[in-house]
Amino acid sequence: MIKIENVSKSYVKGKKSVDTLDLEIKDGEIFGFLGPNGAGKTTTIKMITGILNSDEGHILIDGKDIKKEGISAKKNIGFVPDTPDIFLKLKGIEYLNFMGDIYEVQADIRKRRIEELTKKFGIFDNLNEEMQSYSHGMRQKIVICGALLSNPKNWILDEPMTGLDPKASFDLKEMMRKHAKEGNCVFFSTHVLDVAEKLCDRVGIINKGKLIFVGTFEDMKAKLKDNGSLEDLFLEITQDE
Amino acid sequence: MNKKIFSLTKVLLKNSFQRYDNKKQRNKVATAILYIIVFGYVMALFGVFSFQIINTLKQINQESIFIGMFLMGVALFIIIQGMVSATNVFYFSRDLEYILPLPLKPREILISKLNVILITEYIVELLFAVVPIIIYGVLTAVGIQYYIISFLVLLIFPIIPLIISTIIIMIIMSFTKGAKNKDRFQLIVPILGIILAFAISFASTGSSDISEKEVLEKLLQANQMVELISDKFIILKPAINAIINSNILELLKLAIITIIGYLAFILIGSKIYFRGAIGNLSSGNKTKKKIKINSIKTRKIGKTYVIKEIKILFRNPIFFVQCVLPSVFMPILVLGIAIFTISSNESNDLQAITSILGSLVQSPIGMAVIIAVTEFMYSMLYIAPTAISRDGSNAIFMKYIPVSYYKQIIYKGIPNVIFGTITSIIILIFVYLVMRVSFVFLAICFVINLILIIIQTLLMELVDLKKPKLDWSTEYAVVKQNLNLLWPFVVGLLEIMVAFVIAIPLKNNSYFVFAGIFTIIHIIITYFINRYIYKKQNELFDKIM
Repeated sequence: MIKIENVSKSYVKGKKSVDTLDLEIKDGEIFGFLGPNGAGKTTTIKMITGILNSDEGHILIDGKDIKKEGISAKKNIGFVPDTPDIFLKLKGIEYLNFMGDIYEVQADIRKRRIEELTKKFGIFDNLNEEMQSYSHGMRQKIVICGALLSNPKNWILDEPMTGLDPKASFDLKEMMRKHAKEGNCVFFSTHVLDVAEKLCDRVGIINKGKLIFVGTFEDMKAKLKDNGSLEDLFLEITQDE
Repeated sequence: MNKKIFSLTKVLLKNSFQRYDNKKQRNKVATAILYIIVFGYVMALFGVFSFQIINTLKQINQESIFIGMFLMGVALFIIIQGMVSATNVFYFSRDLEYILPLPLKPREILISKLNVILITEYIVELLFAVVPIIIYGVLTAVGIQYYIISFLVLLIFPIIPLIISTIIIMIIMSFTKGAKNKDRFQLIVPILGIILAFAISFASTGSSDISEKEVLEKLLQANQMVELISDKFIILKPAINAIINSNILELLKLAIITIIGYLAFILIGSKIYFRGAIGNLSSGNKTKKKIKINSIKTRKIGKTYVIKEIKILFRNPIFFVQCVLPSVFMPILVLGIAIFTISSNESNDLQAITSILGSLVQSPIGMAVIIAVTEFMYSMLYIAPTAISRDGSNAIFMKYIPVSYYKQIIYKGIPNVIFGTITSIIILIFVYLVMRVSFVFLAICFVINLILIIIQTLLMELVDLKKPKLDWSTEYAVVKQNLNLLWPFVVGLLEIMVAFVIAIPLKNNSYFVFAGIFTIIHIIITYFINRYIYKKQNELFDKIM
């Protein structure tokens, strides 16, 4: 479970990039985080994962404060950043093994998970190559495999579909569904409304740092009809696709 | 110069320099002061060296020999440095895929790229070559004409050596089908350069005799070499004559040869450059070797982290060559020469000298000298001052994994301590071979060096954390134009000062007293730095986001 309580963050004094954000993503839920470019999506994700410190408020991961109990909170997070160019001089297998060591995944579980995940994404045969020779999509896949290796309870994914081929995208969506079904929590940001509609139990829309909508997609559609400004925003998000 | 070449040169130059943008005025002043100190130091070093040689040669009225040796040195340096630069600018700068679709003629790209290297060489000349030329001018009391002609020679002279090294690289590249394995190739060139430098120093150093007569003999021998080479290396003679005799005709000869060489370069370059370079665009190791899933081994977090750091350092040739090699190779070079000298000279005299040296060095001052040499080598070890910056945009990785920042600082510092210790061991082997000191003395030196490298590592990581350079697109930006890399030098100088400030008043005491005081002070310093890092670990990572 991810609990965000009154969280604010400013990069420049007097201008809040994220403004008193209040949000709770329950176990068993897939939550889509929408918003136009520069709305505060990545800043929020960076605060949830501990990359950035919030100026105000608290973020709890399974009840653990990311600021005060960072290490144990982070153990329950599987994070996929928006750029997959990580440690390109390592071979795919070395990267996954490294992630396995960092998250202390037992050898037998690790072997099984690596085989399972990389075969699913079709990169098993490339594991012995340096990641710099991978295409963008392959890098995205290996980073996803690394994040999911320890089977963390909370998945936090920043634009995870970018660069994935249709099959990998489909597989990832399936994995997200399965993970949520098992009582875990999936939080991801996206520009693609179609994905959000088909996948998410709930969505949140952020604009200029403020959360302006939280609810199901149906709620959103209903609200769009009688709320002009939300409709404008919807158009803006759609334009970004 | 045509407009296209001018703007392309400008863009390529900016790209290759990726200026370290300091917005704060205070930083700019501090930067300027730091640059002036370091450049001033290097220039003064060359100045003093030149002054001594010219003065020695003046005693036999042969001071003009200096110019020959000086120009040959410049040419050799440019050829070696040019090979490294040419490899990077012409083949590994990753800009060709953007330049090729532009409406530019091949020769325009070729000339612009050569210009970039040439401008870098001029900066190097400014550092190393201007002071010796001025000192020669002052000591031999020549007229203004000398300075004007020397300036013009320095402007024209580097072009031919640079063309030679570029053509060599182009030929190698086209033969090796664009050097498909970029990483290995980038390692080979600088190592070849170092071996060449080693060979030259090997040839010019036979023994460590220092009598003036023999120095003169050696200088004259060096001059014979210059004369021999100048017959083959056609620009050397006109350049020498132009400077020594302030001869405009010789200068003209140099200019004409250079123009011919330049035209030949454009002709040859347009034929062979693009073939090798285009093949190189698709670099990367494509060999497919299937993974054996059962070969996976688990490791402790600390061990796996350190191994990852070392792997990335070794597999990235730019990082390896710039951050590790100088500090490890330099002492090996000196050690090689020392072993050669000792093994080739088994006379009793030498043994007598080593035993005298041994007793001299086993003193507080001797220990301070060893510390000074080690610190100098440590100041070329750039693993710790780039520990965070080398990760670039990946640095945020450190913030979302479940490993404390303090532990990560320690893990990231360990490779610096390992390579520093290798450097220290090489130096101590050298000390043992030349001076036959006792093992107790060596062991104490080893411990002191270890404490020093730990302090240096922690301090340099702090420097990098305070001002990380994370936004880079080529690895060069991390190691070049990174002002943080001046700090190892500053800390090194401070440590050398501290060592001598403690050693000099204790010069009549046993080295144990010096070692005890020095060690205790440094253990206390290490404790406080470590405590600071532990307490401030979260704030220290604020810049990484």
